[in-house]
Amino acid sequence: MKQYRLIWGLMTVALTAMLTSGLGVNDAGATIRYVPNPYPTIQAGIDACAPGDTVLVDTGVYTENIHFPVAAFDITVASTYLITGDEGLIDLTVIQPAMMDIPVVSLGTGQTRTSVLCGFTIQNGMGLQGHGVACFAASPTIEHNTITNNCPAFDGGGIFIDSGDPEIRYNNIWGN
Amino acid sequence: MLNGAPDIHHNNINGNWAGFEPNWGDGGGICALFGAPIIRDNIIAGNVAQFRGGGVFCEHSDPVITDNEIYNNAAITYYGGGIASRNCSSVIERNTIYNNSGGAYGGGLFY
Repeated sequence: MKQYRLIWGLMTVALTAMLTSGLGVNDAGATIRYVPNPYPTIQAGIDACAPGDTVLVDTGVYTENIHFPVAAFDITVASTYLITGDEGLIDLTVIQPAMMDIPVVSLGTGQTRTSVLCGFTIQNGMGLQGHGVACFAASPTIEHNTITNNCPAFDGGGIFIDSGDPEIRYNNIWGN
Repeated sequence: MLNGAPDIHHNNINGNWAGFEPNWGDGGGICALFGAPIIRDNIIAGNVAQFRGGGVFCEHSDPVITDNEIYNNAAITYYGGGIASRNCSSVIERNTIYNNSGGAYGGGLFY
């Protein structure tokens, strides 16, 4: 009985530490990085990732251009739709650009299907390469997003792919 | 899409537009150049291209386009309101294609 209490106590301490630190650990031992606390931006969460980590983003409007760098492969960047399956959360978790002429979300070399972008509304890209999502020699999984009102100067308003093999599924791509 | 072999499935692709610049106006919903995309089980509707392929435009590629519902798309100036496949080795089967329009010819499909 004492052993059970000790285990439960340790679990409680660990859970409290996770909630207060804004970090968590999933079953596979990877870290869950919460936005906007302690990571104020999605990019800050991504930049802190090791392979296998998850960036979990609370509802809100995030005005930033985000990029999956080469070093951060096999990561999941998702809204809380990932946990609840509530499609309303997709509308409430918005990424829009801080800078024009570059994609709202871009993914570079080295990303595979185990790099996941899930559960966001990605909107208002504009200018030269103002795509909603751009994959440059990247092959991520892009799923359950709404991608809308992106207007680059050239092709690929919603999603632009250059030399990658991404899986694009269950998205609503409209008005680009 | 330029090169690559994406698997594009179970998406709702609607109300998109290609044609802001004078020389770019193909593939309102999907534009595939020099690749081998798999396009399956999507709804592709209400998209417009200034030139070719209102719903889907493929050129110099090997697309597999199956089991999609493709309707209410338009290519304003040239051809392929629903699908335009030019210089491709395409597999196009089991799609439902209706009510698309081409400016010159090939309202549903130009191949």
